Amino acid sequence: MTTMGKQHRQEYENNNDYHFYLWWFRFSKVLCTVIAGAHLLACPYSKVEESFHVQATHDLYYYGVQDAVNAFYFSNPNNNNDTTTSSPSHSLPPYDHWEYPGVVPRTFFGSFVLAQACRIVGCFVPLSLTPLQVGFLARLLLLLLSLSQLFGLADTLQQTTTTTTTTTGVSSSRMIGTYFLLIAAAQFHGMFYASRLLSNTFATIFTTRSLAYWVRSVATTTTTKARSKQSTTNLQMIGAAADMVLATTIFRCDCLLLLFCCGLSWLVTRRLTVPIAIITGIVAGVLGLAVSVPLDSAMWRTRYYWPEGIVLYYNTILNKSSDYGVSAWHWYWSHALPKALLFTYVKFASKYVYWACVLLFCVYIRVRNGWLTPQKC
Amino acid sequence: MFDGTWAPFLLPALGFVALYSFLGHKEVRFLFPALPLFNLCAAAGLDRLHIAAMTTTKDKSPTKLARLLYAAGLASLVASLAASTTFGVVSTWNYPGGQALDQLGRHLARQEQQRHVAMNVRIFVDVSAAMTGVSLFGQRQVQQTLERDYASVVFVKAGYETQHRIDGESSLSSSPTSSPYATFSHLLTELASVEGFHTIGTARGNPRLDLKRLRIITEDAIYIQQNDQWLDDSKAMQ
Repeated sequence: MTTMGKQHRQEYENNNDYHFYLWWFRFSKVLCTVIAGAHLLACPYSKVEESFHVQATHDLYYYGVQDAVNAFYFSNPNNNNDTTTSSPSHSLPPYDHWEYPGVVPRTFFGSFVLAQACRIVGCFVPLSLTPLQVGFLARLLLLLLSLSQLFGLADTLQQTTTTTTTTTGVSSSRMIGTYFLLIAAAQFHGMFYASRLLSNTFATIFTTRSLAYWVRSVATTTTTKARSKQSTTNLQMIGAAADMVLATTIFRCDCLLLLFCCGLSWLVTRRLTVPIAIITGIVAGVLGLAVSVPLDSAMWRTRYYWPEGIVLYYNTILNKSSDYGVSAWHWYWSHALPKALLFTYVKFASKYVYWACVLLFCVYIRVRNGWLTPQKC
Repeated sequence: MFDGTWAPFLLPALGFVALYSFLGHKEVRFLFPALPLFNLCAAAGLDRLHIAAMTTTKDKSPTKLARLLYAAGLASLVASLAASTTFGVVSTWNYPGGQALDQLGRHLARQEQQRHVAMNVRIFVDVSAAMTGVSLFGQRQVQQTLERDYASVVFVKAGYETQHRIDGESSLSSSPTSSPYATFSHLLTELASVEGFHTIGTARGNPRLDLKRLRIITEDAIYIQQNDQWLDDSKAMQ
């Protein structure tokens, strides 16, 4: 996989095929936008898993962070312990998470960014926004963020060529970016949740960005360098690693598993050297903490409060998430991935023999557990 | 058959799912960050099939198998899109709480045109309604729409998790003899009948797909209960 040379690109763009591929690429972008937008319009309400971020965005839009920050950082030492009752001159806003903290804490950073963005948009709108409009706007902005990262990855893919050298020449296709978007558009969860205020959505924005950097890094590596087993670290890979670390420290600590797996892959394929990986990890980790801890300490009213650290402790050491239901070890393979990937699951079988065995196993599990039972989405 | 170029992308995704399988509590949304990796590999596969099936070189034209696999790949795209559309349509029924709040807001806005008496509206939102779409945005919208016509519009939420169910309701009762809901003018609840209240509307939810008749079956999920004394005893509620 390499990027095209200049002359080749000139030749290529003069070719009629170029317009064909470009049309399909633009169509796939439009399709993604229409589908994700349709999901946003069709289901304007939010369910329990989104409720923290929805209420947080509401609170940060209507009340802001100033009162909580002032009360936590700058309040009179005499009143420091007195956070539940309020002095007559300075009452604290009724933040929803103080009354309903939820099972585990989450960061306010995502909601903060969306709330501020809504306020900025609100400045340019002549009439003040109704609450439902604010909620819709927040989700629309999140949708734009999600799609922008997805399209960024597709653009990177589109600029690479997949070439297969045959005995007579080079045949190339510029459809990989298009196929990526078509596959993403055909799946339910990616499009549906792109506009939903979930910590997983925020994390996915960052991991998609990381993947785009990674692909760009691989594409801009010359083959000679790769063959000589030198390390191919470049700025793109540092960006990829940093984005993954930020996703883990700010939004979802379970991305630690993804960070670990991708990190292994990067080290094994010599995309990152160990020293650079460590430095990037530390710097990005500190940056993530610097973003999350000050804001969340003020909002959750506890010193040095790192929500994802607490979630990590809760899930791994305390293992209390099992109180909310456990599923069989194979559940991800037999239920979750098929539902999320739908028939993409089948596509793998056409390409990788060993994957076909996994697929057969999953079909077996599903049949054993009742193939035709209706599903909840 | 086995293309090593994409292994560095696919194996971390598989590893992520395998590692995450060790945690008992599983949800589909936990896998979202890894989905782009899977899709990337699938796109690479489909692209290879495209090349194998569509490009004709001087030596050979595409094999029948390549064409068949490519067609199967495209067909799977279309099938996925059809399934996703179905999921999407079914999902619109998953928010009876939000729909009930909407209904109640419109009902109250209509009502006041008939009765020009300033009344206090106290709405109780139970756990089921809070979990299926009653958000602070919706609440504030109702409050803003009704603030000119009613003396006050207050929401009391039971909570978002079932543990709150007991706590929330036990703290409501002001006297041991009266029902815990007596101080409320309206309820958004999963209970079909509540003493002292009558149902003025329902929101349907809990959708199921009936494959035999190709329909979505829903049931009454959230009930809008109105206090029997609300319209009559307006003076007592003020």
